[in-house]
Amino acid sequence: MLKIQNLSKRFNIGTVNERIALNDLNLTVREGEFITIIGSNGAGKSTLMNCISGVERADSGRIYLDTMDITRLPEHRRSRYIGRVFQDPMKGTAFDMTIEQNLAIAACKNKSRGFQKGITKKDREEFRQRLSLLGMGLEDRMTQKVKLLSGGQRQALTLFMAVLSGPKLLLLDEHTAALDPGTAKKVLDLTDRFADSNSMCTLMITHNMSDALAHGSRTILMDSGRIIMDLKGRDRDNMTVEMLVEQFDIANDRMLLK
Amino acid sequence: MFMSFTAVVGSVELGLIYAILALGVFLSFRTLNTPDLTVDGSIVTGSAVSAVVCSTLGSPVLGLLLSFVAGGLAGAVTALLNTKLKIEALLAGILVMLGLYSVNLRILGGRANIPLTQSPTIYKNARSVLNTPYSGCLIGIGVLILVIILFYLFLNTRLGFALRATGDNEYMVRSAGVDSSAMRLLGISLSNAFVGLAGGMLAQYQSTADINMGTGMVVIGLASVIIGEAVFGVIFRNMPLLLRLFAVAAGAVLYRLVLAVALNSGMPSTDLKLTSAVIVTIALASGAVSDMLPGRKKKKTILGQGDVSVRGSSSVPSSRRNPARSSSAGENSGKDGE
Repeated sequence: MLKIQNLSKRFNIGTVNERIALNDLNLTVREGEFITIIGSNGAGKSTLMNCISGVERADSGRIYLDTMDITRLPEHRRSRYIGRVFQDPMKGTAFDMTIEQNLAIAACKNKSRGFQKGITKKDREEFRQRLSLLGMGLEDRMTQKVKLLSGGQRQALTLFMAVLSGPKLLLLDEHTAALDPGTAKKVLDLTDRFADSNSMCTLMITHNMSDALAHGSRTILMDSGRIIMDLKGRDRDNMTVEMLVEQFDIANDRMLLK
Repeated sequence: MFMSFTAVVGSVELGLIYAILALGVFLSFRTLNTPDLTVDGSIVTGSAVSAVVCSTLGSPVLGLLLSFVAGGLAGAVTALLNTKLKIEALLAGILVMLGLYSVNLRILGGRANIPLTQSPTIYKNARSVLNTPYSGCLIGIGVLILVIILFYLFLNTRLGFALRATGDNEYMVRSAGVDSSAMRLLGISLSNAFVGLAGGMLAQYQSTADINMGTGMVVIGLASVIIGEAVFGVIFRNMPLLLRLFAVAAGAVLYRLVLAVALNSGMPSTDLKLTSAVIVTIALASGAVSDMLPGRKKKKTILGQGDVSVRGSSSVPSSRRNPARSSSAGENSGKDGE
C-alpha cells in the first residue's frame, strides 16, 4: 500500500521562475491496485513519481509504503521496495553489460553485495526460465550485451528487471512513449501481466488516453500539482476517451488522440 | 635503431610496472567512465610510502602493501570531493593532485627524493634469490598477474557488477538499490590504489622516490589503455573482460618499447614528455581520423562510448511480426519528458 499525505514540491523557490509542481497532494493506493496517471505537461506527474522514488525530495508532506515512512529515505534505499521503468530505454539497463549481468544486478536488490559470485549457475537457470515467459527470445541471448537490443526489447527487459525481486511498488513513467505502436502494445501487455501477477501497487504515467482507460483499475488526472479527477469502478468503465477529453477540455496537443 | 638486449629487458621491466598503473587508469577512465587526474599525485604518494618503508623498516613487501593503501586513500579523497561536495570529477582530481604534492613532500620527510641504494627492495631480493638477469621481469610479471587475477575476480563479484554498472548507467544502478556514490568511492579508491602500488614498485625498481616523478602519469596510463585496446582490438573483435585487462597491461609494455625505440634512435630524453603527448594524441585521434575516411567503420572514442550499435543485426522487435491491434498507442513519440 502506498499512502501520500499533503505532498508539496516547488521548483526555483524565490525566483521569478518559481513553479508549483505538487500542491498538497493526497493519494492512497491499495495493495495490488494499478493506477494510470494522465495530465498535461507540467501537471506534476513526473515530479510525483520522482518524489516517490526519491530522485526529488518533497518540500513537505509524507510518503508511506506499507507502514514504512520513506519520505526521507535515500533513493537507492527506496529502490529495494520500488521497481522503476523510465521513458528513455537507455536509462533502465547497463548497456555495456550482458543481459544476464543486468538481471543479476537487479536480482540482488534485497541481498548483500559483497564478494559473492556475480552470477551463479543457479541464477542463470532461473533467469533463463523466467525470461522465456516473456516470449521475446531474450533467454537465448543472455550473454549478449544490452546495447545490442532494440528499444522495445530493452524496455521489456527493464520492466522484467523492475519486478524481478518482487517490489511493493512499480513506477512506470511513460515507459512506452519512445516505442513504435506495435512494440508499445507488447510492452503494455507485459505490464498488465506483471502488474496483475504481483500483489504490488502500480503507477503508470501515460499521455495516451485510451491506454489510460484500457489498463489498470483506476485513472487519475493531474493538473497544476493536484489530482483533479479520480476515476474508478463503474464511472471508469463508462468513460470513453472522447468523454474524457471533452469533460476536461484538455488543451494539449499530446493528449489529443483520435 | 636497434636496441641492445638490456635496453629491451629494461623497457619490459618498466612496462610491467606501468601495466599496473594502466589497470588503475582503466578502472577509472573506462569502467567508471570518469576522467581521474589524481593519478599524477597518487603515484608519487605510493612511491614515497614505499621508499620510506624500505629505507626505515627494511620491508619492501610491506612497502608495496602500504603504497597500495596510500594510493587508495588519495583516491578516496577525490571520490568524496566528487560525490559529497559535488565538485566535478576532473576538478576534484586536479585539486587532490595539487594537494598531494605537499603531502608527498611530508611523506618524503621534506626532501625532494629518497634514494634506496642502501635499502632492500623486492628487485634486489629477487636478484639474489633467483639469480637470473630476468629477475626484474619475473617479479614484474608475478605482481602483475596477481593484480590482474584479483582485479578480474573482483569485477565478477556482485560488488564488481554494481561497480561496472555504475560507469554504464547511474540511473539503473540506483534503481537497482545500489548507492552509486559508494560505488564511485570504491572504484576511484581502488583505481588509485593500483596506481599507488605501481608507484611503490617504481620506487623500488629505480631505487629512488622522487617528488616530481608523477608528471604526466595519467597520460602514460591512458596511452597504455588505448594502445593495448587498439592493438588487441585488431586481433580480437569482441574482447572478453579478462583479455581486455591483459590487453591494457600489454599496452603499457608496448608503450615503453615504443618510447625506448624513439630514445634509441637519437631523440633526446628531454623530449620524452612531448613524445608521450604526441603518441596519445595520435592514438586518440585515430578514431576521428578513421571516421573521416570513407567506407570505414566507426571506432571507439576515448571513453569507450563510441557508437558501436549494430543496427539491423538484431533490432527487429518480435512484436513487429504480430500486427499491432491498437493503433492508438505510440501516437506520442515522447520527445519531452516533464
